[in-house]
Amino acid sequence: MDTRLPDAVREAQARMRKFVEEELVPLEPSLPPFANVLPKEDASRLVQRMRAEGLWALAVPRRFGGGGLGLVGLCALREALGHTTLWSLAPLLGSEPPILLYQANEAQQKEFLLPTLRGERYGCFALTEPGAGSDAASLSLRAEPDGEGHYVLNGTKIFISYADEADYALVFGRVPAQGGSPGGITLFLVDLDTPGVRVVRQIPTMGGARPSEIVFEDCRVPESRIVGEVGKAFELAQHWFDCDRIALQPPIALGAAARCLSLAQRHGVASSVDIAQWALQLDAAREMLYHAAWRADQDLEVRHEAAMCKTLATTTALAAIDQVMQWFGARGYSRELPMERYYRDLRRFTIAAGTVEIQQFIVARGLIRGYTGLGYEEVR
Amino acid sequence: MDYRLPEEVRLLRETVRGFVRESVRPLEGAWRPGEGLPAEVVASLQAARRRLGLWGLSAPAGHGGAGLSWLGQAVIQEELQRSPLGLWTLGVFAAGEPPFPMYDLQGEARERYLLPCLEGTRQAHQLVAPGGSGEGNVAVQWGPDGAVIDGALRSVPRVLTADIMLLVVEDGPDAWAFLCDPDLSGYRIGPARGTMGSVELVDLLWEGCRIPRERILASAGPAARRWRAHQQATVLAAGAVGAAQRCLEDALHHVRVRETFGRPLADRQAIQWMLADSARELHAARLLVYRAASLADAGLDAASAARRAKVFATTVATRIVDRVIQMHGAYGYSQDLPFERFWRELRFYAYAEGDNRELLEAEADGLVADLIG
Ligand SMILES: Cc1cc2nc3c(=O)[nH]c(=O)nc-3n(C[C@H](O)[C@H](O)[C@H](O)COP(=O)(O)OP(=O)(O)OC[C@H]3O[C@@H](n4cnc5c(N)ncnc54)[C@H](O)[C@@H]3O)c2cc1C
Repeated sequence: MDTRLPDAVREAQARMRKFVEEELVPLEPSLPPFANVLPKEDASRLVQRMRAEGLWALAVPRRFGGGGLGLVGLCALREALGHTTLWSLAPLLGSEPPILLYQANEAQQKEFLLPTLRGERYGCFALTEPGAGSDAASLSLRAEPDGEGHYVLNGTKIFISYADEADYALVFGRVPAQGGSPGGITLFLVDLDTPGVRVVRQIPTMGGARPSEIVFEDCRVPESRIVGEVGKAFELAQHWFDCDRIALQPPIALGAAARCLSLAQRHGVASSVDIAQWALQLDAAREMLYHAAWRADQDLEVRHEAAMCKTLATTTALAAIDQVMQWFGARGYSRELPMERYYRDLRRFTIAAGTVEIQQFIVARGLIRGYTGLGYEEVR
Repeated sequence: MDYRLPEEVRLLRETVRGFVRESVRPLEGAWRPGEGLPAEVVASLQAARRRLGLWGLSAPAGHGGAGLSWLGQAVIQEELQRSPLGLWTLGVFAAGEPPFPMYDLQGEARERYLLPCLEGTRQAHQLVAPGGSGEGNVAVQWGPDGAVIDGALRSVPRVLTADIMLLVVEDGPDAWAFLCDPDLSGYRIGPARGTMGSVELVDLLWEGCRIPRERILASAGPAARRWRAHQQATVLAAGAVGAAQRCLEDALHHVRVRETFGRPLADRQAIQWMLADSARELHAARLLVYRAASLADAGLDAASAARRAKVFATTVATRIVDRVIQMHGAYGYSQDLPFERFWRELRFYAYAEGDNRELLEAEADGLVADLIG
């Protein structure tokens, strides 16, 4: 057994950290408190520097031209990214490949995945609806075949991150049963300039995020844009959801909380035992993170590991950041220190991409059904 | 990076699990609350251990031991401590495992101390104290043929069958180890005081106690520290994980069969929450144990990882067992079921081999440094 990160991952993480400290942290004070994008000139300069330093698409599989560091690598890079409050402004920095598209067909990969990896296109993910959040399977956006090779989409998606910047969306819609076909929830790739799609508003939040509401009105999408099969969207997406639960929020949360704790330590605002108490929780969450990511990279089931990892990392990090804010008193609450921005941004982690309550449910259900792998490494 | 348990460790785990299921658990009823384990039970368990080759596990190669990895030892403890009889405090499973510094004994002292400890006729327990004068310290004065030590250590946990104290006196990074046999003059063991668990506390007193040179080990620091890490990670932390795992499994069974208001407890969200919290904490604890053990197996310094595993695992284990008591209601609180005993025994782990708060204090800088990378 060897629980240490591979050298290549460590080395990439260190380079990312350096990039974060040199390029992103200095920009922090210049951005307004609710900023959610980087100024254009900064963004393109940063992308150039990332490419020049070989930091671009490091975690993307080699078959798509990436660095092949896997989910473990992605987590390590994002943990480094968490060391700046600008992490959420940096989705364009190539560290968030839409893993789901790895399972799309060749034509779809050519049209959507590859340009996305090159940084030319940008996608968003549209599952949540006004009437369907945690219980996503109850969604009601209709996708009806018109008998001429198209599906007609009608309905509303809400809280869709980055829809305002994206040029295509992964849309979950319900195909009605018809003839011999049972229909069911189906995944469509939809260009956002297709007639009948409207991003109607951005929803301001406590943090920098400004997710959008998208209305679909008689939006015609060709059959060729269905990813996988009709009615099989969740089967297809489940692994992606799990990987996202591991790699999107937990590493950012850990990087952020680590930075805040080290500030507390440097300023001597808390006793070392108090700091260690929190740091140990984060250390444990981090072990859990890389273990789950390693499992995913071995193509093993990660449903339960992802759920536990997401809960531990996000709740611990949020509580730790809040604690550091408290230790610093009024200064902690002020914009002079990063805690307030981190807290506002990270607060969504226990809600978005599956609430922590739903993660608890997933773990408990697994246990009650006798999932024996839980907590044991039963890998052969 | 590889989290798989090696095949031999998996096989060993099956063996020990079977042993605990078939030979240990049936004896649980023989251990009456407030009493020690009957001597014949201890003897029969030790004999069974030997038969299975679960003896001398920590002995370095060349000392007749199994030469087992720390990971293997951690997994064994996990399995053994699934029974409250497996708790190390009983000494049942600590016999045959002398502390690392003792392997450096030579000549007559080796015959007299190391070999009987490996054989299991005697048992030694390592204690660490800072050098110097004052409460909790041990002062060492060197003479031509040994040392004279003075000092007192209060409320030292006594492993029931351990009759040799290996007193390690630290002086900066260096340390000496003194073999304290009850035959030494000027060495006194105070009366045993009972605790909430099976461990007893004693005061140890050295008053002008002369220790001959052959019973002193110089440069014992590294071996003593390694033994401490070994105890923290592979015995206490791993054992706490095993105990909590057993209790959680019992709870899982219980909530599926126990019904209230016409539905099994497992259907209730309040119960599900306790299960999920427990599983998550247990999973993290196990990962920290395996990390510490695998670092040691890779020949790296595992002291820090062992302290972290020990603090984390022993803290969450009592919490998990407490939830298991809650899920079993009055039965859980009663001595009909083993949980209250598990809780009482595990509670001690929070200060065995280093008080958790002190260990945390020692880890503060390292933890933050590791996190910020
Ligand atoms: C900033 C942000 C960005 C987002 N980005 C996206 C995006 O890009 N794409 C997208 O599709 N969605 C996105 N979402 C939506 C997100 O996935 C949903 O908010 C989430 O799934 C929860 O759904 P809900 O908000 O409708 O809450 P609800 O499902 O209504 O839940 C409300 C509360 O009830 C609890 N609850 C629900 N069911 C149970 C149960 N069975 N047991 C116990 N408690 C329960 C929940 O945990 C929660 O606390 C985003 C949300 C936010 C805040």
